[in-house]
Amino acid sequence: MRLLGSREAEGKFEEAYRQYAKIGFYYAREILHDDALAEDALQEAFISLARNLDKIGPVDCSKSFNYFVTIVKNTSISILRKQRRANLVPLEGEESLVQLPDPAPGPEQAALAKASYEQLLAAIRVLKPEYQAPLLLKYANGYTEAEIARLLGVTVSNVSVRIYRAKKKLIPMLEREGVGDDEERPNR
Amino acid sequence: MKRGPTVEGPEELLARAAARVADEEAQALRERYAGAPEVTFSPAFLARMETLKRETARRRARVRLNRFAKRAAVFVVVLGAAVAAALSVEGVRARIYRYFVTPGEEFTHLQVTALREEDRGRMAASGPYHYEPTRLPDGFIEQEREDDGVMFLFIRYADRLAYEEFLQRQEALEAQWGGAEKIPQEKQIYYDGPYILFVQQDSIEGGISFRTGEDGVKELTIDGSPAYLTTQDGYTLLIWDNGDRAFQLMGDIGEEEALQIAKSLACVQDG
Repeated sequence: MRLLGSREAEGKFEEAYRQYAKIGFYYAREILHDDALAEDALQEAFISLARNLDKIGPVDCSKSFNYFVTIVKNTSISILRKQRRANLVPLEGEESLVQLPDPAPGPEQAALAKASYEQLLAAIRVLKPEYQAPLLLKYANGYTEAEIARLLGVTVSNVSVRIYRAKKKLIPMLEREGVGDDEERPNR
Repeated sequence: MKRGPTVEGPEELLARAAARVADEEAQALRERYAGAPEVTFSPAFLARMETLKRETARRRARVRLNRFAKRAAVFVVVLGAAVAAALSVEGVRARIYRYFVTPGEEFTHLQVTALREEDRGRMAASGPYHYEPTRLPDGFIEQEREDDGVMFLFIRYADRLAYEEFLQRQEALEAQWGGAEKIPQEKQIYYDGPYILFVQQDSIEGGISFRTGEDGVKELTIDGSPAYLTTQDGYTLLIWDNGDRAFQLMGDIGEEEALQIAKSLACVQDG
């Protein structure tokens, strides 16, 4: 991978700032409900972007913007969680993987058995950000777990665990949709 | 109609679904906020962004320089053969050296060792001469050279136009601050345009690890000598010896250009 020169990097960063800053800020504020905290989240996202300029594609490419959105969301949620912890407000569903309450195991398994691609999408959409972010970065953006760890500021093993847990949640749907009835299922 | 065998496995399906979720979310945000009023960021935030922008440019310059330095320094000579210069190329290789190439997906290791135990540990006899390229790609000029007088000679070539532009910017900075030494650290600039680095060392025995290129590592010969070439994203690294000295050539050039430069080496008397 070719390393960007300093002027090239500066230009790319400026372009990303010009294109992403406004939407990034509004998105962060939507999550944090606070202008100053939204700026903090946005700054974290731009720091991450600056460190990974070589790895992301052209700024106007949708994949690059998707990456940025994922980072903004993740940093915003992280700040929100810190704020809540600081205020001693318990986090809802701390141990669950999804933002919405899980159904009881029995009905859930039954529902998963009937899962469709749409349900897979729905399940990914409601994954909690700390699980969704590494999953999207890996599967939608193609980053390695080591790269994701650097992007999110966590350890590689933490990323592995999060992806493993997220996939575990999605596996029934993947099996159902991913392999035809006549096909032998590939090893995972 | 009966559904045929599905070729999409769980991983591919997950990738497709993840990409769609990411696309949807990004698209929804664009729709929600593209028409929203422009944001008036706080002065503190704008200042931080400006700093980040400058640091990004500086970090790139440092990374390129570090990579340059690492590639230059990684070929560590551990031992030499005093008789190398006196023997023929084939003779030297047949009697003294053995090449070991260990290819890896990311890095390849090349080891050159003395065949005989008694040849190890003897430093090369440095004669009062060196080798240097006599042919460069159009537009490249010598930027700097450094001879440590012991083992290494570095010659760095730069793209003339890019280097002249850099010099103009450098001069402007020096004029602005009243001298090169007075330019603050955060204002200093570095040449980061296209370059070629030629390295000569006085022994070929040693080891080097280098990044495996897109097409792996090619084993070639240059004037009958073993040569190893790897290319990635327009950046080429070529390693070879002529039985007397060992050489590395690297930079923003293609395979053909690298080989032409290598074949153009001429022996130049020092002084």
